Amino acid sequence: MTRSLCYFDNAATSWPKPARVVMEVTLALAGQLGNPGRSGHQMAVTAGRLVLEARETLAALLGVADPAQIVFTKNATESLNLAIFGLVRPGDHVITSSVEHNAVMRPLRYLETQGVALTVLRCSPEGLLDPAEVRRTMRPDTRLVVTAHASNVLGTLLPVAEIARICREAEVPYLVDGAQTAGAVPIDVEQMGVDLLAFTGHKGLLGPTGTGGLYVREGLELQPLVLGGTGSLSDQEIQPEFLPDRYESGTLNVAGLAGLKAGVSYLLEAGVDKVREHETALVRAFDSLAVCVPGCTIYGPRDPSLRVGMASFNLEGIPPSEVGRLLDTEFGIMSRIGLHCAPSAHRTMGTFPDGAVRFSWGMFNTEDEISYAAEALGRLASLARAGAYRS
Amino acid sequence: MAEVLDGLLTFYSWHHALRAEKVLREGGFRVELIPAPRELSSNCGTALRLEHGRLDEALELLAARRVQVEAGHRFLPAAEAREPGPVGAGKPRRRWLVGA
Ligand SMILES: Cc1ncc(COP(=O)(O)O)c(C=O)c1O
Repeated sequence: MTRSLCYFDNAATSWPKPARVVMEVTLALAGQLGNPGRSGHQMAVTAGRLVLEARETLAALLGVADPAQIVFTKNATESLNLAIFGLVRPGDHVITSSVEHNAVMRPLRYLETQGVALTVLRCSPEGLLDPAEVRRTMRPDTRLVVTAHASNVLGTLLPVAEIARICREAEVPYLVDGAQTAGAVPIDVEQMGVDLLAFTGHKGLLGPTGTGGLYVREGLELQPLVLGGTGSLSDQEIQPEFLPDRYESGTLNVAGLAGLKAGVSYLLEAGVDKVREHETALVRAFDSLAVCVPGCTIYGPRDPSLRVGMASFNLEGIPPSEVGRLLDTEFGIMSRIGLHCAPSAHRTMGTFPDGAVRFSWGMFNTEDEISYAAEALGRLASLARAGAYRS
Repeated sequence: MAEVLDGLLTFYSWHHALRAEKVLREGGFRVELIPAPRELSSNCGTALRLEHGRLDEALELLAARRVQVEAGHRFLPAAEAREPGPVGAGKPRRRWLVGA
């Protein structure tokens, strides 16, 4: 077995980035760019055009007709906070799922201490959610429904289109956490009927860290999370009403957005449907090899079409932390172990508090790497069965 | 003679100014982004010059593409009929007819 480097942690952040992403970031820093929107001179305008192009490229990817409905943030976490705190007030009711990332769960648990009623819909141990549960738990004071598009632990896709339909009927805004799906699964927000979609730039969208955004449906008003200078209405001391300025106070991450634009344009050329096909094939390949590893439990639905490009598993007789360490040091495989910032998801799948090992793939992983990793797991499993890791 | 860019659009937001530039250019308009004359707008630092004769047509296209415009203006080619100089060069003079 030759040792190679396998990056299987794309759900944390994608690697490698396309060469054009690196180049665009460099050009943005080295080029003649001012502060977008802060001055009328040509260098400010050049920077502004770059940001506009980033917004337009994302709008094309996500099916947003008007790019102004996309506001830039520093990551999915900030987008989710903007949406949640922008809508929910004490006395309101919120519905969410039991597989949420802490980027959703912590703001909601905090709001619970401030007089917000919270319903957490229990998913099956595979992470499956019956959308009828949303209808059943909807109340007259429900102000928001928020779910992941796909769990970052199980990879399970949630029935967002069905939930969106139920929310539309009840006239309750629906916020989707697309951190694990933007760039990995074809998304058309207007067709899906979601009101708010949070995304992060550094995962499936192939951009740099420090970039992200929120799609806000036209006509939906949020209380801004951050107030300040926007380069518009400079004579006034009140926050502008119009998008994107209303939610974009302070100077944007222009170099980061240049890289994000490049990542998204790369995806538009490659085709997100092709990326999805590739990642589904990787999931299928891994599952078919891992079931042959004695003592390997894979979590999540068996049908790869119900999962994004990841697999969480455990090996009998070795704690996940030890599996992760050995995969890294002995085999050069980068995985993520533990609770993945989602304790509730691990409770749902029955792996709390020990956690699991997660492999997460991207468009640059190959089936050869999957075979190599399965072989590595086979070796660890036979050592475990020989009692090498018993404490 | 080439068309004279005697019309001007001002915006609330730089996003909309830059988007208008792009939408109009793609729509076959001749446009030129300039620093907004201070006497017309303090909303956003950027304004867009175009032919005043095509102002309504431009506003229609921008509305269809959901680009928000603050106001349209017309350049008065008075006695000193000159192109407007760079803003900030000397005192602003009232050469733009507001809201025309
Ligand atoms: C489902 C989900 N939501 C939110 C986040 C937060 O993303 P970020 O750290 O980029 O804000 C992540 C990634 O860690 C995630 O997987």
